[in-house]
Amino acid sequence: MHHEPSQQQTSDPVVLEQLRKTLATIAHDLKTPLTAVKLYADILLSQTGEADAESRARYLAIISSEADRMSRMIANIIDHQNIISNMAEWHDQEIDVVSLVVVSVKPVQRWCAAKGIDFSCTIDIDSLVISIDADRFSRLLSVLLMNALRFTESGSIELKLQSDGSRLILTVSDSGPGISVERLQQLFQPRVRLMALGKEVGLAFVLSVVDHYQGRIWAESIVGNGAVFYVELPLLHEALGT
Amino acid sequence: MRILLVEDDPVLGSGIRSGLESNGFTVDWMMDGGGALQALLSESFDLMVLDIGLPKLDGLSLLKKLRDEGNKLPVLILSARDTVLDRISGLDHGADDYLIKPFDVNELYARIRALLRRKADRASPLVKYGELILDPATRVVTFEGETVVLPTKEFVLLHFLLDNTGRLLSREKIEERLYGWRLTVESNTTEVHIHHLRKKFGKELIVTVRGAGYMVPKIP
Repeated sequence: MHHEPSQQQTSDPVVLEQLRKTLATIAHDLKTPLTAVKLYADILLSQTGEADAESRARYLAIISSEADRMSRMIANIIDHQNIISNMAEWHDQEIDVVSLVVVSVKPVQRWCAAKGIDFSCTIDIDSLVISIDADRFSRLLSVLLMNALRFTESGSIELKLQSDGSRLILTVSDSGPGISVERLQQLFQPRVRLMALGKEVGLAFVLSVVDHYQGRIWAESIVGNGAVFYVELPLLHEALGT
Repeated sequence: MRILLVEDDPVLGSGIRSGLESNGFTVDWMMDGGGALQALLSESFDLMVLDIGLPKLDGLSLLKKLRDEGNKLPVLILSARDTVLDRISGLDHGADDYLIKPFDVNELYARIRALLRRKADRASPLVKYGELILDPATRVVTFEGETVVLPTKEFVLLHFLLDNTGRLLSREKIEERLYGWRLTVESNTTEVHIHHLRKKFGKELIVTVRGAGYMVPKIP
């Protein structure tokens, strides 16, 4: 009896090396939230009876949000690879994006409250029905907001939803440490679009969704004064990919 | 003991700082290699906990610069890079220890204590001065056979003084060790702590050198 490989295997050393690097990076990136989960759990265990109720609640909220972060990272890595390999199924449906945003931001509101960060959501439109994959849109929003939350120790995070009739514009602003000019330039490099590399695993997913809907993404920041991420999606349904 | 923590992940950095501070360490936290280099040039620390993947200047380059300048500061690398080659590279760049993420926080504290013990040139994990014995691991102090419970800052101050017996320590140096950059220190805080330590362990333990600082004399 011998083993029949179900798929053709590659021996191309360039592909194998790329695969090895990608897997190593994914493993590395997953270790950051995993380390945070273990660290805060260890601190809680070693402070039994000492930690005040407020600290305990904050540490537990961090553990929960970091575990969620790992789940999202895994889902987004798999989805990102499917999207760039043209293997993803898109489930576009007519949906009111305002209602979708209101529902999608609920977990972020909770995490912000637990961390003592002010969260505001400004929606300049009453309702707007567009054709989009609701799950992926919701996860795109979640990546942008959770990235902002992760880098904001105090202050505020603001989400704005606007439309000029032909475009939907999402703006996520935070009062975190900001991003250097060099880093801003790296964030949207083609390599990030092609490979889920570095700490931009979530962002790579966002880019692949924005690309699919022929939208645009950019960011502005001054170091020390927070960062603003913009996502612009066209509303012309005919132009959207399926 | 004053530790420079260099970690770019905000959630991890905040947790490590909280954990170390609750264990009596004074922690200054930088989120990039460039800032850490500036801090190392202008301030003095007892140990650095260093991540490798850092913005502006990566951890290994920072470490190389430090060692090229002859700085012997104990450095513990804390990294998710877990291959044997990564660990060898870290140690060969001048790190004194290498701990892989995710890690057990109690192991981190123990490794830090071990590095500080070596820095202080002590063989025993206990700090002994006559009838006074201080255990950095349990933070228990015994004096003439009796256990003495000390508030965190008094414990840290006593540990710092005993690790530097025979050396004159200025008030500024003591405040750096007790508070780092984070807090504004009341002008007489150090005097108050010294006063409390003298009350508990005898006034001859700590000598005041007027206008210069404090010293625990070497036991002849």
